[in-house]
Amino acid sequence: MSKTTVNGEAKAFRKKGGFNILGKGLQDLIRYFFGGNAMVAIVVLVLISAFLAKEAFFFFPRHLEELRAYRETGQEYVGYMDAELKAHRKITSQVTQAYNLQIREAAGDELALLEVAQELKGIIRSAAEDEGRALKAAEEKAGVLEFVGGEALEVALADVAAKRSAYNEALQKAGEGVFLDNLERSEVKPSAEDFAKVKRSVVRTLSGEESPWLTELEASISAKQAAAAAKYGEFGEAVESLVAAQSPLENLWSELRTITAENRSAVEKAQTAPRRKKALEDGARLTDDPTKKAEMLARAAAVDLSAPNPEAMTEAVYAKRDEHQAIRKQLFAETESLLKSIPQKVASKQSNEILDDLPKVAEKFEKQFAHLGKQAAAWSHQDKIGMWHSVTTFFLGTEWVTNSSWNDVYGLMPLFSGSCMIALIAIFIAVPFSVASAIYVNQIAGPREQNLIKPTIEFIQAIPSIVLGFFGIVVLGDFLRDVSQWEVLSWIPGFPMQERLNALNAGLLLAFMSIPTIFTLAEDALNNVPKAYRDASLALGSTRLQTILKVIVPTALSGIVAAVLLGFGRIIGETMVVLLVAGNKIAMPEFSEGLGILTQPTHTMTGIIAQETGEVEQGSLHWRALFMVGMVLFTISLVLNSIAQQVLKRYGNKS
Amino acid sequence: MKLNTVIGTIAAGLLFSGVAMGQAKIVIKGSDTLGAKMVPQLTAVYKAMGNATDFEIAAEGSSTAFTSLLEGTADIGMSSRDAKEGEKDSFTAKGKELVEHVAGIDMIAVVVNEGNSVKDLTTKQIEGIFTGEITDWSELGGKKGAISVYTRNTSSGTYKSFQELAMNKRDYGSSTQKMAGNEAIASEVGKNINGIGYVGLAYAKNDGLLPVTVEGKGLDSPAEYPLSRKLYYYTVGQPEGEIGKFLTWAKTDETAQKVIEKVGFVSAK
Repeated sequence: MSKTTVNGEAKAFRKKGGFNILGKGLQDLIRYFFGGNAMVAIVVLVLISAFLAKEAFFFFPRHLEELRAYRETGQEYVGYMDAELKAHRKITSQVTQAYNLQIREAAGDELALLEVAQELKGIIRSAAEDEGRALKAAEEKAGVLEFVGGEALEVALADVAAKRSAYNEALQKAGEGVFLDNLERSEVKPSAEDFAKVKRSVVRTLSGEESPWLTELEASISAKQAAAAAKYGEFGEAVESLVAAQSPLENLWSELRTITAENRSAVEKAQTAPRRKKALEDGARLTDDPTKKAEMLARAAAVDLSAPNPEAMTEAVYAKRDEHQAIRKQLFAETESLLKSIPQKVASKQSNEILDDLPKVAEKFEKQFAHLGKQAAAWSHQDKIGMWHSVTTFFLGTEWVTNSSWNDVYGLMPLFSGSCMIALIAIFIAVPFSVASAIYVNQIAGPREQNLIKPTIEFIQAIPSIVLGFFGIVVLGDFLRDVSQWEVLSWIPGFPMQERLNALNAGLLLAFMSIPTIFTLAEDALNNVPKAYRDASLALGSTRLQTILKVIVPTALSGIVAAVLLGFGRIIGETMVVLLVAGNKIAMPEFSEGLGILTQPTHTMTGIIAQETGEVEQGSLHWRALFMVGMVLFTISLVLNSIAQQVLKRYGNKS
Repeated sequence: MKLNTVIGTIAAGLLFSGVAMGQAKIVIKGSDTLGAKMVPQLTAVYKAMGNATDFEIAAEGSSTAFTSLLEGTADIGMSSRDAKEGEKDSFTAKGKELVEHVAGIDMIAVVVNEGNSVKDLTTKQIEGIFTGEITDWSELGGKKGAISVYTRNTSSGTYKSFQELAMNKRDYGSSTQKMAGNEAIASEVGKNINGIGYVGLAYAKNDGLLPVTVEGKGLDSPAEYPLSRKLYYYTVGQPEGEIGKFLTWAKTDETAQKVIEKVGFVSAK
């Protein structure tokens, strides 16, 4: 509506006179009221952005302080030692695995039976699930009544007995209904005779009895494994000595770790000292009890406000530096010689796979170890850290560690990559569905179909995200994992998936959630194509399909692109579903797995804010870090929205 | 007409709140470990013994105990860790005093899927698993398979306690998955053959789970089990009236002790 008509109407109203304040009529007031409301919305938005920006901005100076503290307390040096140990543990981890697998294989047949027993247990128990649950409920009820006694207790106990016999009966029946073919997970199929034995024993253990067969089996396993351990004695010793070679470094690390961790808590105490002092003074002012007041004031006066001295803090680290160098040289030499006494081939295939890989692992260790040694040798607590470093470690950091007893690390990358990965999966799935259905509904479907499909798709929006998240945990997760275990699908990267809660699960749900957004906007865009285009195209002799694909869709393309962008914004800002379903693993995706990263668990920017804001102290660095993450999200949404608007403005048809 | 309706509504509101006021109501908030089974059962038995007290229990993690107490939205806080210095400071700043009551002793159970053949772990191995240094079950003598580690999230008291008790205060590995509560960990480990996680004792016997022994000591020997810790109630100032009565009962009464042991904790007495 243009301005002149409003004014015109206003004048027409005022003619009647009556209500009038300071020369303004009723109509004016109504206009100011609506205008005012619109202004309030804008002001609130500006205030929110300013608040976000302010809280987030002060993150960087505080973060810099923290990074400096990490260096000046000597923790950084201990961090190098930690990394050295971790690198060495990769080797010991490999050789231990190879050794253990060999020992394990010695009792392979018995272990296979044990595996069958475990799978059967699951099958039989879930077949008698209802009875089992009823028994548990009855027991719980009797448990509460136990403290009250009386007749009610007797009734409850009788109920428990009845439920127990029903459960046992159900177990028996379930046992009879299970056959060899029901086994899916177990790799080795046992003989019919063994299977019957296993089944009997499982039913017995489930109904709470002992099974002598099981005890016997376990004894035979340990006997066979002991024999194998004797046979591969030399291998075992080499593994043990490799692990033992770590201990000098471990001891030194542990010693320096305690010292530097104390340094860090001293630094933190000094940082919070002014606040503690103020808290005590405020408390003293509020209390009426004079002795308490005096005591609080005395404690306030005793608060030490001076910052600890870096020279004094790092003294111990410098003193141990030579010892560290000697120890790591010795560890390096020992590892080299011990690796030679590890056999290159054993009987077990799985062990051999690991042993074949060992030279590569050893080479990687050598490289890493040498690099860390150089870093440790060059380390000085006086090296400067600039503001730029504070910014880059946040935006490019690959670790997010909070509530740590050692050192908190705030790196955005794992969260950012998780958010992007899930959003890409979702958009990849949602776009074909929603755009295709928009084209169908707008161009092909008859009015009756339109009236059915449109409201149905738009209804999806009404489903609360927590409900979808719950669905993802309870239904979709299990379903996806079961499907991924089908052998015909094993060629798909990332299948079979180990985790129920992962990026793919979350991506699917988010795709579902974003379909109405993209569908509605894309359909609007198609609707905006002037009817004359279509008529002209048809009149020129094009088929309907040609008209849709070559005239209508290209004309509406800008609107469709904008719809997809807004859908993307909707997905990246979604919280509840990803928090519940994405698996919450704060790590960089393992790109070495290729597309397999899609079925890995991950964490997101929205998820971390929801998960961690509840417990952070206001104004702390962690709190500000979460605000920074919020800022990044805000910026992404803003950019996506403005790009969408630009696309519409620049390429949109003016109709 | 209109005025009558307004007056009627107000009168009805007053009447209802009057009825509600007739019964004392105690709001308890905080730890999921305490709030899932122990405190609800305690309150149920307390009511069954003829006390006309209403309870409202919300279990969302130990940190919420302190924020709720500070805001005055809870009468009793439940926590599976002791209060941090910063938390005590914020009470001091408002001229309030935080009073600690030991509610019981909890053991943190390390659970694996019952299909797993690894049944005993050393503390060193547990440290290795949760810091991400041990990544495959074959390193622990099990069948080959990548370990999936499930932990509580950072607002949980158990997250921190476990770090101190079992991980030598080292950081969790980046491949650990942070779950919302005991129940979530129990259900993931129960459904994942390669899963491991830790839960409060009350959950250790859920279907599909197997609590491992630590250094050969099982959950049935609380005195020697290495991963045990105290559980706390917190109040603002010394508790009085109904709240005091309930807390004294929960801490000292014999029936209450039996309830605590029944749900799998050790009573503090």
